Amino acid sequence: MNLIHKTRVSNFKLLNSSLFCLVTLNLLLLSSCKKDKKNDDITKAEFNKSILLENIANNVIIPRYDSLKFIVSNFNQQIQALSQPVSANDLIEAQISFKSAYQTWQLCSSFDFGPAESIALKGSINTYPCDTLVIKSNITSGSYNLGAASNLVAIGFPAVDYLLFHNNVNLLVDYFNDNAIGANRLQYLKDVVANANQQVELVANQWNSSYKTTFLAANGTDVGSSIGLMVNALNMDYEKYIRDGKVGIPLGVRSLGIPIPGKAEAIYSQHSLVLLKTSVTGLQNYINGNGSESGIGFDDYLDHLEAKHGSELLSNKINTQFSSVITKIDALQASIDVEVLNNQSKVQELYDEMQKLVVLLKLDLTSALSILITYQDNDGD
Amino acid sequence: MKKVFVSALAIGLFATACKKKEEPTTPEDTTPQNQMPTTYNFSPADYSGQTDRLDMLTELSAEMKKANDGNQVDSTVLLNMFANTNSPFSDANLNASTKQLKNKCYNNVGAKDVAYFEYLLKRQGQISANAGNTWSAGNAGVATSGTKKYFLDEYGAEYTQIVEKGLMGAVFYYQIAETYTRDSKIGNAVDNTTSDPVQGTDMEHHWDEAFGYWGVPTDFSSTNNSGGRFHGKYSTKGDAVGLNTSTKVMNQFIKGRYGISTNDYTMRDEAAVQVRKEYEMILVTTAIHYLNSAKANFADDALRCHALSEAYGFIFSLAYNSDKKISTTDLSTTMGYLETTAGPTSIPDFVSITVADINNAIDLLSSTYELDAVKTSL
Repeated sequence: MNLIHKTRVSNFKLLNSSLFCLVTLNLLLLSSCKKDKKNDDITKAEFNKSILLENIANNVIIPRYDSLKFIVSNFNQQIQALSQPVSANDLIEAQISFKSAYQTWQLCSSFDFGPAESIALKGSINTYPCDTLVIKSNITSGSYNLGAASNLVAIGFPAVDYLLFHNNVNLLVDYFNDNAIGANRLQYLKDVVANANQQVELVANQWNSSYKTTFLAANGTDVGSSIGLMVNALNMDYEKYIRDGKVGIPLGVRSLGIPIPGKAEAIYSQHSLVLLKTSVTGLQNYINGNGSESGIGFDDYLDHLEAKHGSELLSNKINTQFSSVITKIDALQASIDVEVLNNQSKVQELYDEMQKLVVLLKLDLTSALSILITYQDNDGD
Repeated sequence: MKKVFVSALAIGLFATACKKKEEPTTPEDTTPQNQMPTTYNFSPADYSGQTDRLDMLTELSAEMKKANDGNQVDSTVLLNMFANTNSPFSDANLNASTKQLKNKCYNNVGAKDVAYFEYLLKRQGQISANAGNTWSAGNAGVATSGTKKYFLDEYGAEYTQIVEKGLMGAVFYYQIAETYTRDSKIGNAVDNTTSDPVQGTDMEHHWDEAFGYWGVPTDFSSTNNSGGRFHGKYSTKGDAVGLNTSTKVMNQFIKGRYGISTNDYTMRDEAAVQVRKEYEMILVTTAIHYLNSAKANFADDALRCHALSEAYGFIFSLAYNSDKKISTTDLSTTMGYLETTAGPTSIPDFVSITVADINNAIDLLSSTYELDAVKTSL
């Protein structure tokens, strides 16, 4: 602040017209900067970002991954224990475990940075809709590399959703016990679940060891800082996967308003509404730093900065908007794929409320925290 | 209001004074021509031939991209654009230009050569007969993600990107690294006394030609890095993670040119080595950037294949510098992670690629180029 240099006389010779332009520009820029800082006279202690990171790691992210790991691991054991002949009861029990595992995943999908990003967990665990042709062809051939990009549409929860659910559970039992293909089908189910289990375990273990240290140490707000990573990942998750993937695309926002129910989540188990609500409330709790107990989150950070939306505190505005979204979710009854056909206007209302939240999270929150959104590729090609 | 104005004026002056400070201020050095400039502001200097080639690649690329909108492209036109024959360009100045991309393109063993690029241009023409189809694994067509559309071959390779990024390597980077910063063009045997009013001396002109291939404004730097084209545009990837790539490359270009103009050949030779080294970082940081992008969009065929096609072009471009930091073996291993063996040759395969393959490629590049600390942020 006090680095004022003496201006040498010779410099004035250089003040030709173009430099005057520059100076004028400086004036405009600097004077507008000044305005913003007018009521910043009282120097305030800087927000302790380390406390936020500690709380979010210990109270939100790690417990969520731990519980995902636990639930998916149990589900995996249950599936690996299956053998022919498979009974209806086996499948019904597997369905229950599956639903709970899929639901728990929703609480982790916003953490797509660090270990999860490194192995592209989100893509391998929840790319939907699955491609039943690819799944069938893998089952028939019995030979596949589940890691290959071409198999993303044939693995993860959506593939299990397809393999484990059918209107008629007896028909499903027959599929698994079929003489020709049943063994392959069962093996494929086991391989897909084992693959998901292995990936979840890898990410959860890294959070419990080396990555936690890395996460806590990157306590700035620059590109690559933990706050920057979290804000980018949660915005991308909300905008692209929750708003578009779960609601907008099935609703038809990318298809001239013509609904595409087949693009909804969990179309075979038909529990997309539960998954949607879990992901939205999960995101809200994450932003507020709330886990098994409430703690320091982005809401506190925003309040510290006195970030406002209009005259209202931005943190309040965000939470109110979350409530509006949840109210619209609660107004729906069946799964999304059914509602986009039978109740299109109500899903549209939900989408509109969700859109308002995008603005608050992607513009207001990021600018208040000075976080650069880096997930959009600006190449334009 | 007035108060604000006065203090802003003071700061305005302070900002000007600050800019000045960076220049050497010893009393002897008051005449501008005796100071190393902070921008690539030399006179006379001319690299219009390079600008022509950048413009040619822009048009070639745009022609190839027509397949993205479902149109078949004419490979004859593409090949004509590559060789500047039969007036293929919409810009009449380019048709009239004596310059071309093909005769400056690397054409020897050990790296992608003229025949490789011609093969891709021909094949783009052939398979874009399917540009009306939706892409699927095993079938060429257009892959879509939101508003983005890319025409891909049956393995997910986007020839437009491989050709564009590849020619940036095989022409622009190759000419910089192997021709215009080497003895044959800037060595002591090259004339540095007879100054042409437009181009300066031969030695100056050759160095300017190297600079011209970078595709940046003369005042480009890490803090002023907009307006770049081709590698200039991608220099920003390193800047974004604090590597100051643009400034480092620019400083070496300035230093070399200044060394030549002041007959300081030690300075020139240092800069020649360094400019190749810093420029290489543009390629590798961008390659890692696109590999990350492919991973982040792994489930999205259009975005994954597009990003991998970009990455592939940047990776094989590393070969066009005999002083490259990565060993030939490691480079071939890195490319191998993105390829499959089909028949006698290896071709890019973005369908059966795994995240582990991409991570292997990132890790090998980042450890070779000491970029481990920023590899996830690129």
